[in-house]
Amino acid sequence: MGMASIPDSLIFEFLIRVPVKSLSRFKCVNKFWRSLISNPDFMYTQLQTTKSTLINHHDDSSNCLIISYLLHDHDHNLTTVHFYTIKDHHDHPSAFLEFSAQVTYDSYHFLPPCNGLLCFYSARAGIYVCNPSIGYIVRIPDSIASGFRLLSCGFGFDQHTRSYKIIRILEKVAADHDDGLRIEVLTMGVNSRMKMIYGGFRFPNRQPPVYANGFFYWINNNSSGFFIQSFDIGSERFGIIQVPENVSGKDWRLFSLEELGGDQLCLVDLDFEMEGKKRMDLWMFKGVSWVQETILHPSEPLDATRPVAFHSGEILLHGFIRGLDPCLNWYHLQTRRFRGAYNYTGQILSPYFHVRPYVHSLVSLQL
Amino acid sequence: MSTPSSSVFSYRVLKLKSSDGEIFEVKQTVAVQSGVLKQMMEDGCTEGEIPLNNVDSPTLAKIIEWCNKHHDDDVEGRVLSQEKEKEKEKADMKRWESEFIDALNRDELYFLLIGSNYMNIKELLDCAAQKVAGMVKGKTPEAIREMFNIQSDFTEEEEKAIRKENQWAFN
Repeated sequence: MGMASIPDSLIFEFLIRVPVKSLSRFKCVNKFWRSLISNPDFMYTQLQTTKSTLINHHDDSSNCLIISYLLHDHDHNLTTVHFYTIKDHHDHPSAFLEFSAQVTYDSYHFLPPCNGLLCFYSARAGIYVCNPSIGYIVRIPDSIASGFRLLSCGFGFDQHTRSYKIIRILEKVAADHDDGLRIEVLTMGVNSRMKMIYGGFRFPNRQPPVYANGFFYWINNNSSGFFIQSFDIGSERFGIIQVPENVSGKDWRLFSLEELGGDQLCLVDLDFEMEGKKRMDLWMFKGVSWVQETILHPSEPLDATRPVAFHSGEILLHGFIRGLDPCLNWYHLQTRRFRGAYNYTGQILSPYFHVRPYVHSLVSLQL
Repeated sequence: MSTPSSSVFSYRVLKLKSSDGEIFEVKQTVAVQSGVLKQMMEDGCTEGEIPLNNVDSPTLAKIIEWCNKHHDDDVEGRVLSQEKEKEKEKADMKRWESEFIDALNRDELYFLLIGSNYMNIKELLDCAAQKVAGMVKGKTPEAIREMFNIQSDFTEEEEKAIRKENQWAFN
């Protein structure tokens, strides 16, 4: 027996709680369902609902990671990018191939996902944005500036205009210093546009800008030490965040910035000479101040790992730690214990893959 | 929820009239969970019977059962429980909620969804919508049409094209 006809507003109420794969199927139900599910506001609300459900339920098994990796076919000059999602069910860890796509033959750098979208780029092949959940991939048009090559890029979301932004850092081919930089901000949404940013831009460590909480961040330095440069994705203004006092005198080359899921910006001290490489210091940015956390291993070095996620007091470390089995391990900040995660014994995991927390979404770009 | 209006009128009672004419008496401190009733209380127009034309008596009984359970006694001066107790209470409440929702048949759930939307009771609407989402997820478009009495208004070609576009979702 079926339900009587249901008001449109209530269809919205329950459909925002339905997973992406079912929603893609439900586009066939009728015209109203299709237009509802294809509506950007619906997609946005669906994503926010999924995120808040994940946060409120503290359910480890519904949290998922995305693994991105490249396979090169040297004979045919082809590169295939694969995206797997894995879930940490205690007894039945599951891996699922979300999407594969052929791209220009090259090696790529992957950025952490933003609203289900993954951006990856290479200097020669340019910038791609992909939503593995819905099999969407697009190549971002190259800069029109001639004599420049792509150095790095960041990918983020402007909450207020609900548009996606790419900050693209280009380098003059002939120049060997920062004066040869060209910065472009691409906005993709209702009002797509490209804007050039001028002035005092420095980009010493050349790592991609990290997106968190409406800002791009990267490590910068001047004569009095190093600091974090911020770029407000909405107002497109630069700002500065001071690093924790006890590290400000250190060499900026020893640090990296990471986004650990849930908009958590983290500064990682990679000075592994401390305590025989068995210690890693992290600073979590809490809006105005930094909170220091330390990862300690009683016997083994940690210098081949990086933090990739933070969830309920645990840091997920990706990479090799001698004596621990898989290349993904949770470290509990309070109990100081390691526990193996996502036990796939080499099936698809490798220290060379890109791993990040992931939330499925219906989102694609409006170019 | 402690709000100025609920503490002033803590012990007063509202008379709610269901669509089939039954009267339910509800404490104001309980009724405040409904956005609509809260607004009426703030506007001072809760004298006499309040007609709820979209809610029949079995559904209203269910809604009041939910609201009584979720009624926060803190405003009546209960000592705040310890952190641990709070966690347990939260878990107990979650269990009660899922038992409450799971016990409903499809029609009851549907009327509850409409009723909680009409009366603007956010937590109940969330809970009911979550249950319906769980029922529809994984289903085929045909099963969805049957479930909600929907006729397809696509031509055969249109439907074929959409299926092709979303082929991955059918595997």
